[in-house]
Amino acid sequence: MQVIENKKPTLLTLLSKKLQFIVATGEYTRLIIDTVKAACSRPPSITLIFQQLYDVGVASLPVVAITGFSTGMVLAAQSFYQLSDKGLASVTGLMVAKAMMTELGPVLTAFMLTGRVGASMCAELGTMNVTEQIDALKTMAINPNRYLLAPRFFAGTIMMPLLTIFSIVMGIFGGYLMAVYFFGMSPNSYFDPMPTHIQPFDLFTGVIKGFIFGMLIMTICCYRGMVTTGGAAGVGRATTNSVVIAYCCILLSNFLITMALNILKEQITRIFA
Amino acid sequence: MIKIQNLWKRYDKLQVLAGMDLEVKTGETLVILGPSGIGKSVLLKHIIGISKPDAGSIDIDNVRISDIQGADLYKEVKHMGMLFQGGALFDSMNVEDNAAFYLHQHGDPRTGKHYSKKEIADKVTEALEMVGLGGTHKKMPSELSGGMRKRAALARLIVYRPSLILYDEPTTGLDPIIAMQINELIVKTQKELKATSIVVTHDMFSALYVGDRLALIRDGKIAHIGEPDEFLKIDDPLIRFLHNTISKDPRSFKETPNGRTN
Repeated sequence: MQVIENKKPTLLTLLSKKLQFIVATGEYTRLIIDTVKAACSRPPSITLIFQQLYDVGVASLPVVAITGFSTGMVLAAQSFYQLSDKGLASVTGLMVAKAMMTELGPVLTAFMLTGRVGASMCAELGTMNVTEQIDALKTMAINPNRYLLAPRFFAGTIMMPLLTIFSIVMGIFGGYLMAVYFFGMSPNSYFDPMPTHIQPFDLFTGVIKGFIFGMLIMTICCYRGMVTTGGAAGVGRATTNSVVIAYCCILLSNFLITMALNILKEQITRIFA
Repeated sequence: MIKIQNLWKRYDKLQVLAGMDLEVKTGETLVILGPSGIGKSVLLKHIIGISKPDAGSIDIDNVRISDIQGADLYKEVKHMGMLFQGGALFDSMNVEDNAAFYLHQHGDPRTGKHYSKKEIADKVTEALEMVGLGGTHKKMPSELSGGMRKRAALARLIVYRPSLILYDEPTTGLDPIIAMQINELIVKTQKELKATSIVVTHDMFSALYVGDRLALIRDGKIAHIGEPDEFLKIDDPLIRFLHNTISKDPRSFKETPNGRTN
């Protein structure tokens, strides 16, 4: 390769090598800002948005249904086995509903969406990047942030809370089938404690988490796709990387959101009252 | 007129462009020669604005492309097109949708007029027939050979008649027959669109066939530039080597006005 090697790398180059994480965080933030700006200046086409809403939301329904349903059944079984000898079997339904709404619904849905949609988006965008399709878009005066990213960000952020609600419903239904048809509880005893102990705040927690997880999954996976280099191997690395980073961010942000919401619980409850 | 002045670009430790100066006249076909990996494609990406230089400037028709970005850049880029080495067809779309993509997005680049579906279909068919791909409308890029992909990518360009076309290694990796077809298409496109064209290649045959002027890139700068005859007389080992790779002057294969080769 006949290129000149500059023997004096700049301070910026050295710093960027040492601080890759900070550089990546900066690029990630910039990408989000640019995408929001591009989408606000001229919204992406409705067709593209609907296609993404379908891919992210409707096409994920079966996998989210199975996840929610099986988790609800397992929760009901565990709750019943752990609590029945202490005379607390009647709170089985409440346990299932609370756990699904506040933690398992949003987190497991986010995990499934990362695996099903996030990984595929990262691989698709990564392949487009290494085969110069994204450059081709730019040379045809198409802003890739508006054309490729904005519809995905929008679809993920909108569909994730809805999928979370669907997962919660499926979980409560799965728990109901287990409690009523396997453990012989009456339907009333499964549902009775819920109106008194389930508050709008619980559902709000799940929906907010779904909303934030949706944003995280789409932005992280799309960002990793857009900066992919290194051919097929690079696409593989980027996809694995995006899933791992998204999982870690979901778990970490789950803790932070849980703490923040519970600290602010009184204020939030007052809003709902 | 494209005017490149003192252009510098470095990727990590590699100084790819090092004070490059170059002028391309309106309507001419300039071929930039040089071995692979020397920065020819990087130069094209700078000209079309998708890469930004570390220093220096690029002016196209008195608009400083190297300084603008966002909506201003896309407004200027609308009149340009680039043929990528691998074609860069959108693999989620068939050939027809690829070729129609620009017209669906922008309409006419000069007037902004939006075309009806019928008009777009007619223009796409015309462009595909021009590159010899009539009847491949519904084929996916994965079903096309390397040469067909490049021709489909060329159809995607000529359908909107850009005034500046950049060709990145248009004949690399193709067999001599397909390479000749691509060369003929470049000449034909140039004649029909009257566009300014920049072709980067290391194929001397292609360079002499399509180029009005030839330039040699070395150490991040233009080392030599000139019309084909004077370029071939330059005493440079690389030019001599490239010239020796061809047995006959490709210009002798060019069609004469009455349709026969010389």
